[in-house]
Amino acid sequence: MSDPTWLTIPELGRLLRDRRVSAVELAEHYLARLERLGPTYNAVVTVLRPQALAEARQRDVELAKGKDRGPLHGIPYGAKDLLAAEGAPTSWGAEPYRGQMLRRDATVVRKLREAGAVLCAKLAMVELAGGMGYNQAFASFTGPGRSPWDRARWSGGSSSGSGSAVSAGLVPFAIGSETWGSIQFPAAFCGVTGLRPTYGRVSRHGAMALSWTMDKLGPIARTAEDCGLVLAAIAGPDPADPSALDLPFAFPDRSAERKRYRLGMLKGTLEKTQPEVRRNFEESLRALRDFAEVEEGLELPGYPYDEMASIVIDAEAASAFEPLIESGRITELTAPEDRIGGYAGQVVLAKDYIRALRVRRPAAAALDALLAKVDAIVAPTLPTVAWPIDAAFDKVYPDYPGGASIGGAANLCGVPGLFLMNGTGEGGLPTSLQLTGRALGEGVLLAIGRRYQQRTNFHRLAPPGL
Amino acid sequence: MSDMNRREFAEAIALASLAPLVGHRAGLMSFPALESGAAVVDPASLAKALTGAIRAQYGDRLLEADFDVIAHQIQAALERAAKLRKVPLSNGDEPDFVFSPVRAPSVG
Repeated sequence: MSDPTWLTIPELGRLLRDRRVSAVELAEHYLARLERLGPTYNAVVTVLRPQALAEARQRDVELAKGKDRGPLHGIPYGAKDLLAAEGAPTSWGAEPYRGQMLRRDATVVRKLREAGAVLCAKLAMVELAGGMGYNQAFASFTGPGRSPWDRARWSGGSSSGSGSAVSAGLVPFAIGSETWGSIQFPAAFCGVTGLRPTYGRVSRHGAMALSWTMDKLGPIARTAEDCGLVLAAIAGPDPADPSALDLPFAFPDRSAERKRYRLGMLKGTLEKTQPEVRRNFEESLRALRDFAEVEEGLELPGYPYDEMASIVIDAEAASAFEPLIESGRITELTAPEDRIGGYAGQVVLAKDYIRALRVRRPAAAALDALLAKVDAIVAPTLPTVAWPIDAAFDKVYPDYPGGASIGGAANLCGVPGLFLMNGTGEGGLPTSLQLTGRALGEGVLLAIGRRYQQRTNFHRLAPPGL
Repeated sequence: MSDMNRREFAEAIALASLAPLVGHRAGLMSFPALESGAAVVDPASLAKALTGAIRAQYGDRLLEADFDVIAHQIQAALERAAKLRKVPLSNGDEPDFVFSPVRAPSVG
């Protein structure tokens, strides 16, 4: 068997269907990497060796009998440890929930099993998905997530293990979650491709709730194409999650393909970014202009998007984690600031929360009107490379806080985002490009991402030494 | 210990301007809003009062220094909420959620 570590999902699928590798061999390969390298990056909570091998054996038997479940058949993956998987602990990254056994599968886990994917590991995450307001990388009982590009740098959060495991070749793809930045940061800091789907595109059933109206589940993988294949498997309605949309998603989405796309840039988006981030973004624009027009100078509508997002998360997290706070076991969290970070949310005024929900609707309509002018808004994913692992977040790179950002608005309004490595910057660390589109516009973002990755090879780069 | 978390950092790097608002839904019935007589609420005072509520519920498990941090966090949240109150809303502007009445299937 040639080394499959860095192959994409379609490439692995071809090996499987050509009988050049078996699902068991693939699972063995990635399980060995998870066991050997996972601790190096604090990327793994639980390796599911027996379960994964049993599933892989079944996938091999099926293929031998001519049963092919589709592009994910026999493909190993990892799930952020906020997704319930029967027979494995689901820790939510937090000491008080260490060893928690949930007697069900999250809908995403079930759908991936039905699509033939093989769950190999539960992956590390920031405790409670960052809901208590962490300000440092040391915010998980598994230790700080370390970037495979430099172990002295943070892998990003809160889907830390999902980002680093894909980046280090421990799994071909992983599932992460984003309430505000939790796929974006790990994708950028680990140099991989991440997709934040539209709110409701993917069922949240069986996933830890941080904010019922803002949580989204999505893939982290090598390429935009891989992300599309995974999204096609996990999207769709679910009676167990009333927010899950009854809308089909197919990949590739032919209706999203255009000869030329229209991209927009927010005014001031490059302000106060690291010089290398700016340089790589400008290089990316040159590649994008091969197949897209770029309109500069767009402005976000004047709604207080970030403030709304904060109030919604504070209020919903206060309720979601009220039992933890009441129990007093919040003191067992890893980051000292998380041990007291849940109290302020307990007194969010109901009228303020309701007002945020009322303003959200016209604010989302205004954002949609902006996004409707273009196929996507393009920006650097983050203004800097990965942060030093031992730095407080509010002290890191003070000269580069970044410019106009669509992140809070996009998360509050539930619109999709795609994050793609676009070069290396300070210290040889990855930099990243983000595309934000209209609600249900994943197909367009993925089509643009594919075209970009056909012209570049950053998605083929492995971290040094791996 | 710092009291600025990642979310606040994200806010700090984002534009939070409150330029004149555009984009209110067209075509929907709107009800006039009353001019509000500006109730002057000092966020610091209100934060102090709300911190008292935390003290009443959880005082036995928090240190005095913790209350300083919590008061600061509450004040920051109130200041965020104050920005929301600058967005005009009418009586007909509903929260963005829909309640679904439940009727379980009849048994037998």
